[in-house]
Amino acid sequence: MTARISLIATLITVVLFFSCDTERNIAPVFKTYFTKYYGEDGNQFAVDLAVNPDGTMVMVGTSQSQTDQTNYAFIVKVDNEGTVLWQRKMGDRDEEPVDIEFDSRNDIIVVSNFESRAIRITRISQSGASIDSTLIENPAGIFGTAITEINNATGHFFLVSGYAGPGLVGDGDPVTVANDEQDLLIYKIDPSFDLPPKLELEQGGEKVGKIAKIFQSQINGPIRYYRFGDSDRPLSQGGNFRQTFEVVRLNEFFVPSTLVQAGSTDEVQISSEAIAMPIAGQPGFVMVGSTGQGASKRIFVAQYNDLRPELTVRLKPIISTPRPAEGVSVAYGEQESIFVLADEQQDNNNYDIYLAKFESDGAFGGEMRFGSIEGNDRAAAVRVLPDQRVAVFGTIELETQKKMMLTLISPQGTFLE
Amino acid sequence: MIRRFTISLLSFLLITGAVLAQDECELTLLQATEEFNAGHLYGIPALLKECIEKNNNREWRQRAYLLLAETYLLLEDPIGAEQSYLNVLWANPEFVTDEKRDPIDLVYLSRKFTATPIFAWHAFLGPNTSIARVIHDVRPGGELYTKERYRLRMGWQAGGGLDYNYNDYLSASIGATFQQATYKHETTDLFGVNRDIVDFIDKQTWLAVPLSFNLSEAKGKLRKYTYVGYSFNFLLLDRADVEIRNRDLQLPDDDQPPPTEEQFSSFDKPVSNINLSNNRNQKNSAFFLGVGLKYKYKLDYFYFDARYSFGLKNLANVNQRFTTREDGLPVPYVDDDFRMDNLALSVGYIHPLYKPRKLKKARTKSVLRKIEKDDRAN
Repeated sequence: MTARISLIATLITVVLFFSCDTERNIAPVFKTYFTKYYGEDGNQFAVDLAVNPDGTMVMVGTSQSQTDQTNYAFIVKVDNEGTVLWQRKMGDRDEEPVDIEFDSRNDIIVVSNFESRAIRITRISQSGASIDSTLIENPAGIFGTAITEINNATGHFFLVSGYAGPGLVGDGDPVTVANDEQDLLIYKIDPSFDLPPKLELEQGGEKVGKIAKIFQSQINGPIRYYRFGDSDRPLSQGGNFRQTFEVVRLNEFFVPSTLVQAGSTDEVQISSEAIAMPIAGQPGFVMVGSTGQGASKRIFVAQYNDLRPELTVRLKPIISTPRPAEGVSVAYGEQESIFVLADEQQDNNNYDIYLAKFESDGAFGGEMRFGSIEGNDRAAAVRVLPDQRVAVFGTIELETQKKMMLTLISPQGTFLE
Repeated sequence: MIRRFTISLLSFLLITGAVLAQDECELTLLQATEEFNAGHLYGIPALLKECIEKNNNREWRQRAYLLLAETYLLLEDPIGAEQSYLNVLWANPEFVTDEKRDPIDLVYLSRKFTATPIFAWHAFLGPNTSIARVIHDVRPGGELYTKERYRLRMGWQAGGGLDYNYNDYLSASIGATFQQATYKHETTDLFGVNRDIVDFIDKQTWLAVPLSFNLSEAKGKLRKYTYVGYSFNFLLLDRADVEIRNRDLQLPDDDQPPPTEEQFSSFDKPVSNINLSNNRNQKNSAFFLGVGLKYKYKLDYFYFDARYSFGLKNLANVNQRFTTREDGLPVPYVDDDFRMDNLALSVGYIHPLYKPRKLKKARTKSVLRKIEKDDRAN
C-alpha cells in the first residue's frame, strides 16, 4: 500500500513538474520583441533612430521639463534587447535634433537645429562621449534636415541638407522674395570639423520645399548626387505652386540638372524621409511622405530605380487608412519588403502610430497601430535590424508624460517568434 | 392581542403535549426493559410499537431500537434484529457498540452495518492573499536600475463542494470556488533613480474547480485533516488600478538659496478599472496542499482550513503583453511572466449525508475471535 501511494505521489509530482510554467519552458520572447519607454524628467519626444550592425540602437529626441519648456537634445543607446547602455542630454538649450547617422568611423553623427538660427553637427563616440562638433550659422534662418557621408573620388565629406527661411535666396525665378518661404540648401562639411562649412547649393524658385536626404548615385559613371525632397516648383504645373515629391540630379559640383517628380498635380505631396534600398537587386531609393491635405491626407510612397541615364519612378503607392495619415519614415526588410511608419489622426484629433508593410511588388502586407486611444502619440522612425526585427520608434503619451517608445516586432508584425 | 394570546396558548399546549408524550414513552421503554430483563420477550415489540410510531426523540428511539434488536436476537429473528439495528443507526448514525457494555451478539450484529456517510457537502468562506512567482522579469523601461516588487493584498473566497468518503479516513472532494485575488506591483526608479513610481493593483475574479484527496482523523471532537489536490481555474474578470507618480526633480529657484537636498515635484494620476482580461491567460491550474481542523457539532462539523495553491501556468498572455490600445492604456507598466500562488484561510461547515446500510462484507472476524476465545475460557 505504501509503495503504491509513493508511486502515485511520485507520478503526480513528475506530472506537475512538467506541467508547471518555468524559465525552462517559457521562452523570454520579451527580450526579442518588446515595447519599452525611455526618458528622464519631463517630456521626451522621439526624433530619429539609427541601428548599428551589432543590433545596438541609438535613439535621439528632445527633452523638455514639465515646468520649463526649454528643449534639449536627449540621446540614448540601447542594446538589442532594449536595455539602456547610456543616455544623456546633449548640446545646449533650445537644441532640437533632426537626424542621427553613423559615419565610416562608426561614430554617431547628430544633426540638430537651434531654433532657426543654426545647425549643429555633433560627433559622439559609441560609448557616449562627445568628440567634436561644428556649427552652420545663417542670420536669415536655417534648418537642417539630414546628413549624408560621402566618400568618393572628390573626397571624404558630409553633405548637410536643409532649407533657409524666407529671403535668403531670391534668384529671379517666378517667386518674388516677398512670397518666398523656404529655399533649399546643401552644405559640405569637412569630416575633421576643422574647416568652415561650405555652402554648395542654394536653390530658390519655389515658395516652400525641403531636402529630405541627399544620396550619391550607386551606378558606375560620373559622380552624381540626388537630392530627395519636395517642392512646389512650378516647372511642370503650369505656374501652380503645388508641392510634389521631387528628386533633382546634381553633378559632382552640385549643379542641378534633371528633375524627377512623383505625385499628383491636383494634390499636395510632402516628403518626410528617403532611404536607399535595393529594387529587384539593383540600386534604388524609396521616399515616404503624404499626399492630400486635411481630412483627405494619406500616406504617399515613391520608389525610384537608380538608372543611367536617369533615375526613374517605379512605384507610387498611396496608402489609404480609415483616418488621415502622414508617412513619416520608411525602411526595407527581407525580399525588399517596405515598412512605412506614419502618424494617423484619430477622431479626437490626437494621433496614433501606424505601421504598414508592403511587399516588393507594392502589395499590401499588413498593418499595426501603436499608442493609446486617448493619448497623442507620434511616429518618428522605423528601422529594420540586422536580425530582421522591425524597430518602431515614436513618442507615446503615458498619461502624465510623453516618453520615447521603442517597439521591436517581427517582420510579420507580431511580438512572437 | 387576542391573536398573540392564541399563538402563545397553542405553543404551550403543543410543548406540554410533547413532554407528556415523551414521559409516557419513557415509562413504556422502562416497562419494556423490565419485561426484557424478566425474559418476557414476545410482548416487547407490541409494547413499544405505539411509542415508536409517535416519538421522534432520537435518543429515545436509539434506546428503543437497541432493546428491540437485542430482543429479536434472543428470539432468533435475525431479520427483525437487523432491521432494528438499522433503525438504531437512523436514530443515531454515529452509534457504535461497545464490547464491554453491550452483549456480544449485538456487537457481532453491529459489525454487519455502517452509517458512515458516503457523501457530505461543505461550504466555506474566508480571506486569501496572492503571491506572484516571477518567471521572467519584464520592465516597462530600459533602465537596469528600475526596481520592481510585489506586495501582498487581501482577497476573499467562498465556495462549496461535495465530499465522497471512501472510508472514515479517506475521502475525495470536488467543489467550486469563487475567488477574488489581488496583488500590488510596485515599480520605482523609473526614468531615473528616485524618480517615477507606478503602483499597479490587479484585481482578479476566478472560478476554480478543485479536486482533492483528503486524509482525516476519524474520532474525537476536534479532528485534524490534510489534503492534496489539483484545481482548474478560470479567470472571469481582471481589472487593474494604476497610480502613476510622475516625480521630476524640482529645478532650483534662482531667487532662493539652493536647497540642501534634492526636491521633487510629483504629477500624479490614478487610472481605474483597466480591463486586463485579454492580457491574461484565462485558463489556469493549480496544485494545492491544505490542512485543517474539524470541530464536531452534533452530527455536522465546523472547520478551519488553510490552503496553499501553487499556480502552475503563466498568467501573462505573451501575445498581448505589449498591446497598448485597450481601455486607456498605455501606462508605464508591463506584466512580468508570472505564476500566482495563493494562501487561503477559510471557515466552513460540513454536513455529512449519513446513510445507514448493511455492509456487503461484514467486519465480524474480530468479534468471532473474541467469542471463540470466551467460549474456550468458559
